[in-house]
Amino acid sequence: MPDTPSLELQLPKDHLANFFPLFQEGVEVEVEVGHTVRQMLMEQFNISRDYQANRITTIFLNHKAVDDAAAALIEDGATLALSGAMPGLVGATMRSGGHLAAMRDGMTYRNPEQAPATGRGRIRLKLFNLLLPELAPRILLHGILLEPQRLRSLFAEQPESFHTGGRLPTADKRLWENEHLELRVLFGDRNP
Amino acid sequence: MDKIVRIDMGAEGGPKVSFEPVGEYAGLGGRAVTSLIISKEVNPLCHPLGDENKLVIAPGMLSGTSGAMSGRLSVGCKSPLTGTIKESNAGGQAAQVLARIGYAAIILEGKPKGDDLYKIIVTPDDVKVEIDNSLKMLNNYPLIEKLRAQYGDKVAYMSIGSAGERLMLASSIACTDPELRPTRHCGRGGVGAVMGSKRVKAIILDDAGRKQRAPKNPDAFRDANRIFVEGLRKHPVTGEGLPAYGTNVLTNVLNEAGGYPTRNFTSGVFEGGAKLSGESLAEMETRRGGKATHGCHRGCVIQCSGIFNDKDGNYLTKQPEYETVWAHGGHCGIDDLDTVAKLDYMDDNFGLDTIEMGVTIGIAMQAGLAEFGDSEGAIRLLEEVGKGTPLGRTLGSGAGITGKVFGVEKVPVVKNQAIPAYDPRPIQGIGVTYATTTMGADHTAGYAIATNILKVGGDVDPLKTEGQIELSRNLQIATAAIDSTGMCLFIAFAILDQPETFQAYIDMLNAFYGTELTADDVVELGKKVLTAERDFNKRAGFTSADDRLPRYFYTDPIAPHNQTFSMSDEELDGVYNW
Ligand code: SF4
Repeated sequence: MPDTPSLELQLPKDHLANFFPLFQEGVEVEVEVGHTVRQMLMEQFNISRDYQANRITTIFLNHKAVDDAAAALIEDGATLALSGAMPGLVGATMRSGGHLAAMRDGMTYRNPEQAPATGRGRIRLKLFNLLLPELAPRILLHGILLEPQRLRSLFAEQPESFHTGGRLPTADKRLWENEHLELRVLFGDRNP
Repeated sequence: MDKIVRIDMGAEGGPKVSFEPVGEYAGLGGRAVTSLIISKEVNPLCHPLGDENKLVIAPGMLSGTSGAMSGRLSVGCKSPLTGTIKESNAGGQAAQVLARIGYAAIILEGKPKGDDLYKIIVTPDDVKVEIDNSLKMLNNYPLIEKLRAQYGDKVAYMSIGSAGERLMLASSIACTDPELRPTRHCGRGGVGAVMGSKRVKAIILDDAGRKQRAPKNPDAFRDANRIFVEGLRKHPVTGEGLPAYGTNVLTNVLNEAGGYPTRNFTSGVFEGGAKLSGESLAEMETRRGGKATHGCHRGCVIQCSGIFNDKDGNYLTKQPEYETVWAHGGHCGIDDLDTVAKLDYMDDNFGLDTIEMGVTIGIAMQAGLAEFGDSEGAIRLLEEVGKGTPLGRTLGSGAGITGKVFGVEKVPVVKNQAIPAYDPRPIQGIGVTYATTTMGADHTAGYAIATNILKVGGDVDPLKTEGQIELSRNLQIATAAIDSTGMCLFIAFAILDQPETFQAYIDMLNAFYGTELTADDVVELGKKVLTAERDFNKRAGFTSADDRLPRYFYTDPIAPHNQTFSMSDEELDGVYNW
């Protein structure tokens, strides 16, 4: 992301949850596109195949339920949402490759006829429920792209203790005037 | 649980209590007991609020034991909302206490002539029916406070609020939770109005001196229960997701799936969904000193519930369920959890089904009585219901009637019961269940997901077009079976994925009763219950024409998938072919 201004923060671990609302609404990330969901998660975010199989049990690509993460291809501009196993009939219905997949046949993800191009691209990534504490740290380490206003709002909503871990460099105009900024956050108990 | 107590509220000279052996209902519980009794004893053509209707209250097969998750209470009657047979169940302490007292069912029948209001006190030694007009028009929270002053905290209470007394079709029966709050409701179908029609305001269940029910084979029961609990604890849904976030964990997922009915089913995505999510709710509850993990009755190991405090840290209500958050939230265009929690409290206090009321408020918004998204407007409308004004009585009659009164064309009801929180256009399979269940639109009717283990109807090929019909049928059978054991339906997730947990569940039943039930027997029980319910509805005048979704679901596509409901009538009519 050569033209995108970037900001790196180091925060105590107990501030991780403050970022969860962002992930529920979705954050943009730059990744290699044109690959399968499974491959992308493994190669870009180092999320193991086992973890994917056991924990990421509900996946949506462009609002459609994915049954096979090893087949669904990610294209530039896609929205990818990851969730743990869900309760309820409909929760079970949404499960990847689940027994009840037929019940939502009309909203099951199918690859486009023409395979998407490979290369760098941006996708919108959402994390839900159990995956928030487990995956948000590595996504934040990878870096997320945010509209500056969203970052300002996030900081504005936090208690004072949060700011002691990472004050926003408000004077850096370049950071705030761009369409997006890249935010990387390292979680640890050491102050920056 | 070897007795049934029958209370004729309309007997000459005042209510008459009689006792009878459990007889043909021995070894059954919950929905099996309520539906089989209603089907056998109630004239399907009766007026639901008349003296011919009965209200049957039944604990589950393992209620009152040390078995985990066994505390669901079923209530059955002919529904004043739908005109069909109805079983509505709730958690809370009532099932455990009633079972320990020893009753397989309480049957309320008849109807007193005068205006007196009654309370029923059930103890191991006696059942008393007393006039108590001081309880008139009390809502559930003050009512329970008043009763606690007299009967204390070591009992369980069932009650109706002002909505049930006013015979509103959306009224519920409340059961108190372990903290003695009236937060657990047999909500659907207007069961509160049936209790109100019999002039019964409260039932006090006191099991003083009674111990837990003893299994026939204590060692085997203890072992099976241990394996069952281990299974629940290790499964990601029952051991992690539900305890951490409750059922409202579904908001984000349904919204992402485009199946979250928004502003009266006009879109499948709500832009404010993340603000209403289970994740946000749990964070808010913890921050305000409430609880994100809490059981609705003792013996629940999943603990999908919670405690919601207001901004000042004071108790407001229990953690609202997903369907409640949706009905008062996205369906009404409201994205504020404090508003949703307040409406949930008001529903519980007045004694109303949160789904029916939320959907009704959305219909009222559609009619122009308030704007979508207007939190104050929603609260104002619900206050009308609490006051019993003419507008409030209309709203308290549910979405179908409110739609008719205000000329709203598109009202999401099946058999006059509001469709809950899952749009049937992108998720067609649930539409099949909404259309064909014996209960009116009901998401729990096909909730149990153990069909692949139960093998009800044989193996289903999910890729075949008829898969959705088959699945809906099998789900309805499996649900009827689990409802009949009185276990919380949320055990179904662990059962789905873990055969040893399913086996432990069957082993618990067998060790307790000294029986040799198999999975097939459980399936047969589910079919028997559904057949009885279906037969009741047929005799009440329902035909296949009633097993349909409202027409607009077939004609109006919904974003983002732009789908309509496409199941043919023939396919829907095939659900009950077994
Ligand atoms: S899982 Fe939830 S609904 Fe079921 S018994 Fe426990 S608290 Fe009640």
